[in-house]
Amino acid sequence: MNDELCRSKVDLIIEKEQTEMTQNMNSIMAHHIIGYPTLEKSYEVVQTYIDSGIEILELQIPFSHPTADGITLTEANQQAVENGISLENCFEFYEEIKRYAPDTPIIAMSYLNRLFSYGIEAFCDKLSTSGVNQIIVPDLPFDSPVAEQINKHQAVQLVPVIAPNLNDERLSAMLNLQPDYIYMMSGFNTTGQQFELHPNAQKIIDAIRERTNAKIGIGFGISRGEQVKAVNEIADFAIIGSTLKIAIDENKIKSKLDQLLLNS
Amino acid sequence: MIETNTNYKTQILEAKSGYFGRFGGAYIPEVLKPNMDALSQVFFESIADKNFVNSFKKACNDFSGRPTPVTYLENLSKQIGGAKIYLKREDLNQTGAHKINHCIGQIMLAKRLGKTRIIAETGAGQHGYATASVCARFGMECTIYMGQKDYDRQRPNVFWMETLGAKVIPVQFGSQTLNDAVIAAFKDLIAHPEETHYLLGSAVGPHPYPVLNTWFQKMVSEEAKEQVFKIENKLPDYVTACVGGGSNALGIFFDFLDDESVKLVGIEAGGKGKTPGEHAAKVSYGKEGIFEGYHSYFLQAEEGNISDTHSISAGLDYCGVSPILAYLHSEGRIQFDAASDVQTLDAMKMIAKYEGIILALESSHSLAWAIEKAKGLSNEEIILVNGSGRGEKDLFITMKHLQPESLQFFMEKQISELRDE
Repeated sequence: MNDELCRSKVDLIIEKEQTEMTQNMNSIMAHHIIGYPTLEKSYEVVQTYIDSGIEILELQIPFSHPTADGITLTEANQQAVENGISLENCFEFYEEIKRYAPDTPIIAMSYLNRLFSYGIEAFCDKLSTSGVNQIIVPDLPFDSPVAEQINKHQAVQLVPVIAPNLNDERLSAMLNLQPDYIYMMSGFNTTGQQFELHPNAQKIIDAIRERTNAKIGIGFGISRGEQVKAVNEIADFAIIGSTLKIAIDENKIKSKLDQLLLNS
Repeated sequence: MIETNTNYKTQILEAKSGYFGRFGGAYIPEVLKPNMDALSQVFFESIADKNFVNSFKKACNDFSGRPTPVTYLENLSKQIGGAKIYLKREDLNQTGAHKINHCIGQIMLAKRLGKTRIIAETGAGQHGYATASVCARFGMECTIYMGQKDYDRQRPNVFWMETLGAKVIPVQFGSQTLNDAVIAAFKDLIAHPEETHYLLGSAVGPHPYPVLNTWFQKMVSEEAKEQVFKIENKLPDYVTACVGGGSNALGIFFDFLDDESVKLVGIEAGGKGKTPGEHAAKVSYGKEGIFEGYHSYFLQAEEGNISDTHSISAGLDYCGVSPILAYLHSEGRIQFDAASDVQTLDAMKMIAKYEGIILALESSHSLAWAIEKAKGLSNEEIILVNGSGRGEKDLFITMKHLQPESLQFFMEKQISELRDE
């Protein structure tokens, strides 16, 4: 009895410390393109992400012509495609990472033609058996006929990507799909350009909060700790992509993550 | 005069959702949705507005010399010994090709939308050239995206665009060609959605571009149908056009779509052969996919990646094809075939020799098919070819193939003169 009491006291102390630590950390969704710079290195990078304490992973399937990515991520996509990364490699990657960190949510990201060429339903089946239940498809409007095929799928949910120019009608249509996660563009930039939070962002977030518990992430152009902190104040997590790719190139991934995660 | 048995024309123009069967759609990032919706709305309103339609026609007549004639290629037809070949003379337009038609139309829509800035993609530079021309004429700021490779190898067109007041931005990512220019233009639109109109240069892309550019091009077939009928008292038996994205093909096919007796044939770039990367024949050798905003046929590599293309004519060197053409092909209304680089150069030489016309390499693809086809037909039958553009722009490419030594001599002389100055 005494023993148990002691142990639970110790547990409490540890828990308290952990809570304090977590409170001092920013919430981040860390993005990575599978197979950049190599498949082997990708495993290493993503494990570093997880060990550093990021909250969510966004793991992108590389595509030859990534229409909505900036130059930095376009290059990384093309490098991964040149490395010959197959869809099978990507599904295995999801499985492996899920085994490494079962509690870290993974959001897949892919351009539409890769899903389409595999077959939308078959892709969703394969994705969910690989342990991933959320997917971002930047060139797929959430109410298009192809999106309906994903929306109908039992185990996979589409993460809508919205921007500050979303009108009320589209907002309602999007919320009717009851997404667990929503990806919001900080402004009208493609990834990797300068960060600037559009004045409409707050209004849209308020409207979403009023009606759902969906977790909202804000991305596009976030590269510094204070930006992450600012985003954490109004949304659930900051989405970091290009800046991590650059850190990989410079071999500074750990220090960059620590800098972005530290809320001070 | 015309029997209407099908209603493809109405079906296409009334597809306000942007779907043609399963093809088409608007597969775009949500951030672009307001832009595409506004463009779609103003387009459908405008074509129902007589004032707009009249101003569009007037601008085409005054600025671009419409209507363009049809020319009976009598010498060539007799030389081949078969069907009569007619050429619709879109090469006589301002800036030398049919592209100006949808440039005039779109810039008028942009004005109606209150836009102040035009952006466009260009491959060889022809669409960029036409866009820069209408921007100068209509007083709009103009930015053209062009892959770095195209920028380097088509420098004369860059020069003309700049002379017309456009800012030409070389695109340095990807394969640095047309696809990358399209992507760069969409990225610009995402970054500046309020003030910008993206003047997309073919009947491809997200809704409403395919139907919109088809509408601005359809006068080509309306004119040609009347012109051929007036001379021959019958409709052509075959109508053919080269197909890159599909804007000139839809222009010359459109008004014949419901005339069942008229066979419509799209000619793709057969390039050097059937091996991937050596051609640009999407319908003939491509696969269904969804890319750059629309569902159609695309040249694809493994597992949905997009593959490289090749054609001797830069205007056909593109990985996708209009969803409207994909639909009409799936319906069996339009047949597709391919002409090789070699066949194309031969056709280009023949029309120059027998008819005194320097035809664009793009259009020479469909002429090459017509020459082959005509041989097996009687002299009662008529083939109408869309002469979508003139060939002077191809000077360096054509000369490199036909007279490499003269080209080298000329270039060396020019360089030494420049050095001496």
